[in-house]
Amino acid sequence: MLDLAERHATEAAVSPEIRRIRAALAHASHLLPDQGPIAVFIHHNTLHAFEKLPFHEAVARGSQTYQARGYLDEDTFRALYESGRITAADLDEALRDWGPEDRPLGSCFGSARRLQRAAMLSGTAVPPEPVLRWLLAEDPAVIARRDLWRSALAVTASRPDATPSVAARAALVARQELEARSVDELVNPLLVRLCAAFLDQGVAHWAMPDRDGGLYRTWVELMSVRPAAPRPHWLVDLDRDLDSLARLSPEEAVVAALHEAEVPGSRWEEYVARALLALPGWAGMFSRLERHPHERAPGSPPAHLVDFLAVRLVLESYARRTLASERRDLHPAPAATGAIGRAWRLFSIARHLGLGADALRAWEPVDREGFERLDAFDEAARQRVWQEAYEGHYRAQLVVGLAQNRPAVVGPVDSPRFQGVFCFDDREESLRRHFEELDARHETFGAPGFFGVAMDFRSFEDGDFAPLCPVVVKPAHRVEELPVEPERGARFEGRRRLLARLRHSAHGSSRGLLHGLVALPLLGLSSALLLPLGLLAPRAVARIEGGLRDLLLERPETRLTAHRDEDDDPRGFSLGDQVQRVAATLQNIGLTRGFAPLVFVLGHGSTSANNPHRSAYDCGACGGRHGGPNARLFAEMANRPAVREGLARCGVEIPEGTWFIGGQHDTATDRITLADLNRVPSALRGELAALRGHLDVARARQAQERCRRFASAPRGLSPDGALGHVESRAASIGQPRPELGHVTVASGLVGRRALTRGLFLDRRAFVISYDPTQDEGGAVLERILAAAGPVGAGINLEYYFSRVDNARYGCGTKLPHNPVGLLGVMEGSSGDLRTGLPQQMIEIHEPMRLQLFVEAAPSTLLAICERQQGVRELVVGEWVRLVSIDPDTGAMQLFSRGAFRPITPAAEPVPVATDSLSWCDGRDGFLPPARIVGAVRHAA
Amino acid sequence: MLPEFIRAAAVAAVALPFVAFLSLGLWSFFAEAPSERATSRLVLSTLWLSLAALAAVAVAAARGGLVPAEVHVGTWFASGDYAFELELLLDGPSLTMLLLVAATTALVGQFSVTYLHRDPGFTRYFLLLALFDSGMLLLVGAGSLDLLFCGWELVGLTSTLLVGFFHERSGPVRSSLQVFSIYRLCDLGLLLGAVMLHLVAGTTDFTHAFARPLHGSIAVVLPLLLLLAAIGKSAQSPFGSWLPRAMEGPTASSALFYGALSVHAGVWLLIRMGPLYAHSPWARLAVIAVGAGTAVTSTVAGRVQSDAKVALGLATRAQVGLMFVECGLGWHRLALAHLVLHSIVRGHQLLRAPSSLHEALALRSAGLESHGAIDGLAQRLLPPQVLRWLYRAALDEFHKETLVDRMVVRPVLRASAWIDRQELRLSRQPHRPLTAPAERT
Repeated sequence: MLDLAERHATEAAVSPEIRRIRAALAHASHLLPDQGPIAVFIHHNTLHAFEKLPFHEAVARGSQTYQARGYLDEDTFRALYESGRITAADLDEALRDWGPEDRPLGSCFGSARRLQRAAMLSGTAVPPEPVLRWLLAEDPAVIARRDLWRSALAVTASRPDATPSVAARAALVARQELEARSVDELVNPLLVRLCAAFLDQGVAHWAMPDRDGGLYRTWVELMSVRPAAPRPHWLVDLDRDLDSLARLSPEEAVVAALHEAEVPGSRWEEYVARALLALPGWAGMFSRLERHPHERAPGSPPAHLVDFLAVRLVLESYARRTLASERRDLHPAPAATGAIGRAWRLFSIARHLGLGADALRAWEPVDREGFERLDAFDEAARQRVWQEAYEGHYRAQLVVGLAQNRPAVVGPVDSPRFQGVFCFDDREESLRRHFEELDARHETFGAPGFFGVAMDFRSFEDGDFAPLCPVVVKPAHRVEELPVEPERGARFEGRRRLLARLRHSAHGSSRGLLHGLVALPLLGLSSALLLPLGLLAPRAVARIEGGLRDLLLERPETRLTAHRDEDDDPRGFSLGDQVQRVAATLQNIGLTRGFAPLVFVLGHGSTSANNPHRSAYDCGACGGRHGGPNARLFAEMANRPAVREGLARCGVEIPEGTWFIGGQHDTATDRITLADLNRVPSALRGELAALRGHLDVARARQAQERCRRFASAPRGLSPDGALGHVESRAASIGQPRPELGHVTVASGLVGRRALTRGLFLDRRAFVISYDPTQDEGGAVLERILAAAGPVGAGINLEYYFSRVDNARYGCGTKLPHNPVGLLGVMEGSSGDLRTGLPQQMIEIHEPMRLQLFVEAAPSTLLAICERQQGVRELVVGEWVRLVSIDPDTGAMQLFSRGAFRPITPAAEPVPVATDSLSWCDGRDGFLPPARIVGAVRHAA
Repeated sequence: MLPEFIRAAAVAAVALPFVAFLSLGLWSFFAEAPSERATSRLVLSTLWLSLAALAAVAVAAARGGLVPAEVHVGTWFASGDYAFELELLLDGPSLTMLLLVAATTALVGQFSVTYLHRDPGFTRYFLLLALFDSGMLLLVGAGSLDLLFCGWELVGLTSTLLVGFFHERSGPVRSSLQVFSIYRLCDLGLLLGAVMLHLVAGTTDFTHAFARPLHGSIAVVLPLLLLLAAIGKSAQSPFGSWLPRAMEGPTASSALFYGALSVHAGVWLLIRMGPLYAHSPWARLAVIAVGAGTAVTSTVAGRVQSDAKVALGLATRAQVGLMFVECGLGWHRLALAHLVLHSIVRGHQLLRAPSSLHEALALRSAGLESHGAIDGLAQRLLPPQVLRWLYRAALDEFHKETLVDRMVVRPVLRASAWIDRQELRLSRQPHRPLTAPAERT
């Protein structure tokens, strides 16, 4: 191997082979997971490699590339059909959409559609041969229909069998897989420990020395250190080759390894992709860090995917050589062969249709032809139809709910008392609903949680600036949170450092030998107290800890450096910027007149204990962080008189008596904290108290509504009991499900609140406020869709793929997770870096694409798709299902197969309830949309 | 003499978890698997009851000065001169340990109810937890080496099965096999030691076995055999490389076994068999050497680990090494105190291992680095070549696993492959196809 390598090394500059390697890497890196260090979890389309393709095609390609399931399996779908979640009508509609026109068949099957339906409902997947034999011999249901089975055999026997080359190819693929797995068993543990140590960003007390040359160079140097280390049995030859390996660049090493493995040039891309996909998490992390170096601490060692590939291929070459010398004879189990498989499928269908043995024997040629065409209706096609039926059922419920909830006159609330601007997160849907149920004069709006103020923010307690905006936006402003009184701030800072140092020296240094010994008595005492109390009374412990921290640290009052006076100050927003930001957000949500005296703006975030995936619960529109500072900044800007003057010139009239308050909603504990309350004018203090009272009632009811989805929450909880329960969930270290997250998400609704006010959506919808009557050309809608579309679709698709195949697309169960570096989690001590969502976060999720209902004419939507590429890919590829609601008439049209097609809502009346809690009282599971009419509807 | 109800309470405390295991096992075997609520209630109630009984015993014993006391339950079997007596020995150390085991297991059991909610292996986990508790209580409460051996084996079995808890993946299964192999190898020491003690002293009962000091080579060999067993269970060098691998199980069981209880069983063995070591300076030297060597190498290896669980596992190993040193020096009281404190601390830290990521980030934002002072010192004093050599060795945990693999495992595998080939040749069997292991169910 290395003689060839030396020859390559002496070739001039960039040889064509190296160019080909670079192209192969660029292609393969596209296939790798795109998740960055887990401290900031950003939901994105798991199949981003195929996002330019239509959804179903992309899912098929993903299944092929990643050996993963792209839909729920057929047995699950059949169970859903049995339970009524999918009805026969849904199935028929999906079949109509999928396939060609219905063709009549003979007396046996009736019509092609009937045959397809039977194929879906009867389970025609052919089991492996041993299982088939057992079923034929032992299953009583099968034995009872022996006659039918014999007919099926007789009738299908005249077709020739599958060609032998198919069986041989399956065996070859199986052997290759086995070989690959054996190589992985040898290479992976070593490679993982090397990568973990190399990429470590400050967890290990002793970092790897001299990492500046990249992984490959560092590894070769480390292996070359004399005296030589004992090597594993498959790497004994490594010492001999180290000198030659040291002379190669990583790319040259890759080329040399490919030549040694005798991979033909045409298959290099495929080989490289397969080598990288053996450890997709680690490879993906290298790729990600290479492309986004700012996601790491400054001074971190360089991460290049080619280094990873070089080390991997070199190790693989040694492993392969060792395995080749060991004789292994492995023959994989054969699948059931052709004729028997076909007969079984016919038998299942006939049994489902209730055909007799004679009827089957007497089938006509047109029947036979129809049956043979079923070969095209394979598992992938059937799953597509199931998925469309599954989504169609929910979409139909939403359509009829929206249609019947539409008021006679669609308009804003008359003389509102309190207005609230929330993030459009699905978890806020219920808070908004409960708040509105309290009084007809309460009005709520939904906007992306960064409220238009994209900024690099440093809170008082952080060390670094972090961007608070969607990932596609690059903030151009910096804002800091500073103490109002600098001395108190300095005192706080000093005490915080001291506390951190004490904690570090207690826990972190318990890894040292003597240091750990000395710290043991104190630690033992604290653990003996904290462990039982933390397990048995987590809420109390959290409260005490919080109380102690407040007492000892005395967090000072703070202000934001929001306003930029001079042009060369890098912090804050200039006056013009502030006017523009506030105007844009208010125009987006359609709140340009009719302001209430108090308008509160709530960002959101989440708190949980013992959870590496904590950031997955945070605000996606804020880049996976807490949105409180954005809300606070927005409110401060909107309160500034100079800004209001500028807004008046833009057409947004904010009366003088109106005051904006910013705050944050903790979606795990349902706590709401409002900021800068001491600045509220005295005239509004009474209203402020009333607002806080109403918010307290609303959040307690929202907690009660949430608790019905928690198995460990007792039945019949009162609202206050529910608040206690969710707080203890968030504080408990043994709770892997601190809150629901986006597990209920299914749809997005962009339009006026009047359309959805009073509609119980079961926390399944992103509700975004938008007023089409104030938006002539669709420019506002374009802004909204361009910002919210990718965020919403990303969240929905992340949950979809992690649900349908959690082992491949998600990160498996949380139980064996082991946080590594500051990068992510791996299973055990040397497993792959896992990406995606854990099992515990997606268990009750219904995997559906986002059903996006937008209150705009189809022509407007089509025009936006023309202009915005991201939106076009999502809509035309049907990654989201777009429904247009006509602003004037309310007529709905679904975008399907390239065009908008009208939907007629079903005629049955939507259920009606007096308030949300009575509707969902005591019921588990997802509830269809219902109209809440008892309490209040807006006037007019 | 202990009052009757105290004796009954002690026996009940040790027997209850086993009763829970049996009833849960039989229930799952003959009927539908019980619901999560039923399972957790059954097992947790016995764990808390067992703790309450032990607390009562401890209070009564402390007040009345009733210990040390033997609690004779019965005879399992007798054959000729030999009788397997079921006897508990309650004295200061064993009561302390009994309380520790019962309390820690109950707390981790409480943790596990929510932690393992909806896991398909919920019932299996609680079965193993109950079996472990009974085994560990037996181990620390045993009145003779024979009974201690029974508890020892139960702990080893449950440990293996919990490492391989996620048996649908090949990684955990392979790790559990490795753990099991090392346990078996080292348990040979305990078995041979028990047999030898019978031959020499006539009994392994702790109150009578140490009556006469041993002489000759037996005095060295016997303690060394027991040391072998302790090394295996407590993951000391050279047989300690299984500990990082054992982190494949759920966090809760990793905390209970390799933070709190099972990993300290070797120390307990040394404490109990202390009198045997008192008369053999060579054996004591061996204990100290093993302990000190492990402490130093594990600390250095632990400094380069970048993942939470392995770092904690290596820190545990190092502290247990220190406990071995303390036992070797004859400071049994200190070793016991060290054990109890360390067990609580490490169990808690391992339960909170998933928080390590955010804790490290919080440290960074407070402007603190995680490098220790010693590292800075070492980096200034030692030449870079030596540092790199030391780093590489630490990263591979001083190559212990590689050495054992190449010197022991590979030859055994080669020999068995050779035997396999000869068998095939001689029997002239057609080669039967093997099926590939399933990766997912």
